[in-house]
Amino acid sequence: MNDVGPIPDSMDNSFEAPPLTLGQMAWLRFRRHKMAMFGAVLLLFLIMYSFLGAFIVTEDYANQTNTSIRLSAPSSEHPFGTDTIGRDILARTIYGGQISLVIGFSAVIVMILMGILIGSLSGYFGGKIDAILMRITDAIISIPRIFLLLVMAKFFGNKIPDIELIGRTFSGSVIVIVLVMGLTSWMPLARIVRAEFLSLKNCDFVFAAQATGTPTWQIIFKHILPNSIAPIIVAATLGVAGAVIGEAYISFLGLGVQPPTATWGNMIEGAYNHIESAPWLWIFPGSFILLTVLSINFVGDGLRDAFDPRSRSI
Amino acid sequence: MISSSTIQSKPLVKVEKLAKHFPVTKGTIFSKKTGILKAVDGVSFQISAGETLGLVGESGCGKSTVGRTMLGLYQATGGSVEIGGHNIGSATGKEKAIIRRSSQMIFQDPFSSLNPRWSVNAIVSEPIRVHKIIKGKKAREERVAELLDLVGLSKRYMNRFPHEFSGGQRQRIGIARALASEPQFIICDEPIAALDVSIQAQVVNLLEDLQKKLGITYLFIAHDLSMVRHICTRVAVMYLGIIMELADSDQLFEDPRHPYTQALLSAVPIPDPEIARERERIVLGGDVPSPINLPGGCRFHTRCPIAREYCSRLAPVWRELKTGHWVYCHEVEPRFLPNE
Amino acid sequence: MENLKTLLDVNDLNVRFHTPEGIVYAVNGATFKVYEGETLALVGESGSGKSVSMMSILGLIPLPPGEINGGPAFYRNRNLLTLPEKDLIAVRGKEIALIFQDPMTSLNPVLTMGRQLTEAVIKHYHVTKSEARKKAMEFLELVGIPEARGRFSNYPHQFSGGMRQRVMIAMMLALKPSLLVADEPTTALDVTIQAKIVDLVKDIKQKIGMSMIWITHDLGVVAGLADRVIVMYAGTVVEEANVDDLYKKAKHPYTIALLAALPMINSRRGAERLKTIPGSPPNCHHLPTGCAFAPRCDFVQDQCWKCIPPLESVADDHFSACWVDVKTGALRS
Repeated sequence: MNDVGPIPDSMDNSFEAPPLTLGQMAWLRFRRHKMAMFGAVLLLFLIMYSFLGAFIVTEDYANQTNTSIRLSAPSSEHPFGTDTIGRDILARTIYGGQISLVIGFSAVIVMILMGILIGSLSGYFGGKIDAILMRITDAIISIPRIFLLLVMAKFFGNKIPDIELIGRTFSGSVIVIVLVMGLTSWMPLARIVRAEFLSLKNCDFVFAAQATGTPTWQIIFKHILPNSIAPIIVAATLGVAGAVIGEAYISFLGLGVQPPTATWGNMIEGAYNHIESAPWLWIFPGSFILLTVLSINFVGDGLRDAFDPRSRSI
Repeated sequence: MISSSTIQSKPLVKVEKLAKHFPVTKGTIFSKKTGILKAVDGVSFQISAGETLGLVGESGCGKSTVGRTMLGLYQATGGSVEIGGHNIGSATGKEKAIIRRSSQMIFQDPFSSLNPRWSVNAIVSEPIRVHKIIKGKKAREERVAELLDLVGLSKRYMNRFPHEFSGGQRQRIGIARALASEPQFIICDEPIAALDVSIQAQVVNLLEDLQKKLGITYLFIAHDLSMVRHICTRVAVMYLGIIMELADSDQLFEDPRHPYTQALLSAVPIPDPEIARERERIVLGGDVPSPINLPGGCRFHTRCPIAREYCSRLAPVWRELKTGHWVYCHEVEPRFLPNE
Repeated sequence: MENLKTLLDVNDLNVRFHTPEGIVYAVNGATFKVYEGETLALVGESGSGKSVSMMSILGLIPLPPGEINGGPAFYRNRNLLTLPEKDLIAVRGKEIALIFQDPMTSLNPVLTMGRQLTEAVIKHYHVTKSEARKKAMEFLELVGIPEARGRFSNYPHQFSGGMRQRVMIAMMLALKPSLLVADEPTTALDVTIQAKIVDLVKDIKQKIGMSMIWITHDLGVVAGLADRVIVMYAGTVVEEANVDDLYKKAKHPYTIALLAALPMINSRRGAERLKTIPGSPPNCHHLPTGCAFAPRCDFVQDQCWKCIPPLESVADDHFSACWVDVKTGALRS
């Protein structure tokens, strides 16, 4: 019976190198992507700037007005200059960054939850459930986003209370914006997740789980979902960029977080009348947005390559 | 060794007139049913405990669909399946769980039958967890080690992932998973088709050893007829959704009666150049008809070398030629025509 | 064999691939000949190098990451390995025809079969379109596709696997090649279709007098088709013999083990346990030191681990790469 016994090590030559988990392989592939690494480092820097910078300047300082030095160009005292009512722009970019980034990441969490929920149920069950969910998805996609934002902003406007987080008070409008961004951006992800589920649910390992008697929810969330992580992660990273930009333009429409609380978006809005005369008003917050989005896109590129199931090489 | 002449009063597996039809639709938004694909169209057989029934046929004959419908992975359109006395179609709750525990499946493709994100331990222990056979992580791990040992894999591999293994090793992992719930009945759906020749023998020997050791009953679905003869007690030959001939393994291969079986066997390549030169081949004309548009009467008549005029009008009767040797054909001696 | 002309003469072919995971040694010193008018079977399991060796000779391997050393590989008297691209394409088009396992990848899914076939005919026969259509239909009938006229306007996906292979053969017929290289053409097909295709190919071979190289792992098909057989393992030729000698008097332990692992359809059930080859196929990330089959060989000796056995003549027209005489179990003198 020696051919059924354990394969002796001398004959077993499939483990030459220490085995790598799929996660490790993905990380190694990501590391080789120079732009992605650059983007990751840049993103890390931006996050540290916004959150650790709070230890250097206080929020009060960021909101401190001083009309005598209004609209002054960058100087040693105010490296990024001052805005229309004399507030230090550097400090405001720090605190503004916190809000913009928090909005970005939180909106993405909402987006992911909605997208996964709808997409997985739709893809796995098919039939009527799929039809209904997908028609809802289509309906929401076809409504212009700005319209939805306006309506939701108006509706939720003053109904959500402020919350305390990481030592500062976030006005209720932040939550509204997070919800609005999240609830208007989950649709493409839902479609992607649905597509993944449609193809994965016919895989033999799903049949095997069904034959074993594994409960359906386990099949959906423990079997199939982990195999569709790749497009979800990519969509999520890009979603952060989308949310940061989204915050910028709804602020520009005047529907975003209201001053004195700073966000990168409403800082640009405040520069509306001084575009040429005081460019530092919009250059700095604008650059931060640009750098954030750029770095996220690079990271997203790298992640997409890293998780490409077709390449089994490192 | 079991031979079908041993009369089993109560077979372990009883399949009666099993049918699985798939609707063929056209259009995406308002889909219209344009036809029915009769993948399985009335299949009946029994398997006694400890026996291995082979189910063979060419692609599109429905043999894989039979296996999956038997386990309830597809909802049967008609007929019934009884495993260990429990009817799959009408089972609910507890009974269903018992059936799931007692019948398992081994799949053809070693690459898609294991979840690439799960470790070997997670994969093999899943049935144990789901059926709550052993409680406690440590105890389950020990059982997984035992199962891996049973299939010839070292327990060192427990925390590795499928992509690190070869095809043959993955099949072993799949077998270990099938054994984890201590089943009485395992459906092997082309388990060796995707493996190298030298590995196929390893896996087949393993399956046979496990049968001897644990008394498992197998349904062996395959298209490699040489391997089927080696491992199966009885063999059923399928064509376009129904069984054409069913007999003891040796009987079928030495004295095939149905013209389709005869043609099939004459086409099987034999690794012996002398025999290959001398053989007579029975060539089947035409192509396999579409299972959406089945020929009338006997569905084999369009390609049958001995078809008569009435074969296109009258469907044959499933009849027993001699003990344990059944055939679906008018013309096989003694001829038998159903009443019109 | 002295009377037959040599069509293909491959010497010491080495092919390796540079992958991010390391070097893959696909072919390690393969040497063989193909004679005019014969059917040669190139047999091996996955990783044996059987496909790669032929594909590299024909210039179908991308050259990075592939790297070809050794050779020469003469077709008639031209070294295919050093031929400029243009000439290689001409040889492939005119004299050497190829059919693959999956015809879908060789056929354009958006063009009708008729059109593809007609184009192939025009390219090689330089006739008018209507003449080409007629010829194309003749070829389709020759390969046994019923109602050829009607199926002319069908698309590849409307044909079954077996039919598509027939169309591939028809296209290949249009070339009237001297050599047909078939890479596992029937592996994915049912047994009855496979038998028909094999018959068809044999028939055509006789009609137009071409030579054939049939790459496969199926020893059953080989027995019914080949004149001579070459067995490959771990990128090198381990045995070469005519078909009767190989099956009845195999000399290399791998061939013997492979044949023993096959269930015979005419042996009674349960008669014998299948004899297996222990272990797994070789790891092609390492160049073997010594014989690559040593870890799995029943007849292994000390020498086998140290030196790679050369391919030597062990009988009339019968070559084996092994240090051991399997009859006695001792080292060959």
